Amino acid sequence: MSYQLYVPTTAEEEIEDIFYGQINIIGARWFLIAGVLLLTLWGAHDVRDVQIKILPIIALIALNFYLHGRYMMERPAGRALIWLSSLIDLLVISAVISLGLPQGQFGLENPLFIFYYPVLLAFALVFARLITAIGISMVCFAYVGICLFAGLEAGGGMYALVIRLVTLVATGIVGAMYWRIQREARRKAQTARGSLLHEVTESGIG
Amino acid sequence: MGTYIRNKLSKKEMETTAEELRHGQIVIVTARWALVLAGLALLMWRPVDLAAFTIGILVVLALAVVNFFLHVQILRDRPIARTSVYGMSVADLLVITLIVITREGFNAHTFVFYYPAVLAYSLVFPGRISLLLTAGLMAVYGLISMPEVMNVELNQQILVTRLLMIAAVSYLGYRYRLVERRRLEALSSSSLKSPRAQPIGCEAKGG
Repeated sequence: MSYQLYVPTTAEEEIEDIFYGQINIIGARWFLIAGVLLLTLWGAHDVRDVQIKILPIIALIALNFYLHGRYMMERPAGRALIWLSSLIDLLVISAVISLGLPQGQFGLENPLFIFYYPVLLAFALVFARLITAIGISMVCFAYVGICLFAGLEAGGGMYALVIRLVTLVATGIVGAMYWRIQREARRKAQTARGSLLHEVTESGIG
Repeated sequence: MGTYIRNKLSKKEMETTAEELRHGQIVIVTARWALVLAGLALLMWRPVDLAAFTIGILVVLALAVVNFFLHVQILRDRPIARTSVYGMSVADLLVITLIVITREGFNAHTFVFYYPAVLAYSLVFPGRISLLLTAGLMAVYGLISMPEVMNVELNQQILVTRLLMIAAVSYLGYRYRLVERRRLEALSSSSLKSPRAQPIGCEAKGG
């Protein structure tokens, strides 16, 4: 019997990365939901106000239940849907900062920019480096745009903005770096397995 | 710390951890270079006073020197003691905490340096060590923030959100490491029964 080694192509490796890694994006979204929900309920003074604010959170929860459910049924979402859901995360966080939640602080003054960190990290751990670079750029451009629109006078000015951008980029790069290390480790394991298969075939053990 | 780790981890865990540490050290070292560069830039940009500036420069340079030696060891493929890797990550957190304390505590913008530092060790260290470090960091940062947080509701909300995001980054690093370990184990231990070995994740379906 002859053994034939399966060596995945780069495209197939990307599918595997999304298949296995999307639980990180789903997990990051649960943390985002927990944070936004906590702030919405904690700072609430009026039922009508909470009712309006809670609607987009419920939509986000529904989306994450759908994705988490598919993952648990071993039918995880494909690349397009994961991309779209990550884009929704980015839009939600940017909207929270732009709208001045929780208490009327806009742009740089808004403390909720920290939601970007886990979301960006999860993205970097799942997608290839080029797509991660696009994701990091989108987050940075979105945040810089919001801060410039709101003005840099309050909230620490350019100094605070630079610190935040540097750490956001560093988080993305560290995630992408670890992603690459893991891919190389898998390729090495694949090669080692190939050598073993070859030896088995040659010696006629199989 | 070394005894604690040996007592808490099983032999298999120790072997896996050693392998993961060997592969992952470069991530921590790179994250630390980013911290050193950013720390130096910030000290130059907005010095508080001469004493704080001097201490800051000395601490950051000390971190750079140690990181240089760790980096050289990795490049020469020499093993680094596990306790040294853990100790240096604790040092990273201490340096960031020192910078936070000297720059207005809770109101300091520099707390965001915690995120890449927490991520770096969470991706590499065993879950229990990561949990210990993250819980310790959250407790220390909570204590530092107390004076500004005690009587201001908004600050309480902000503090809880910051701590939640530190926990999120740490959890995601740990979770990803776990997923990747299982993938690698599945790849290494897949049987030779089939004439055509199956790809891992070949059952992935588009959504």
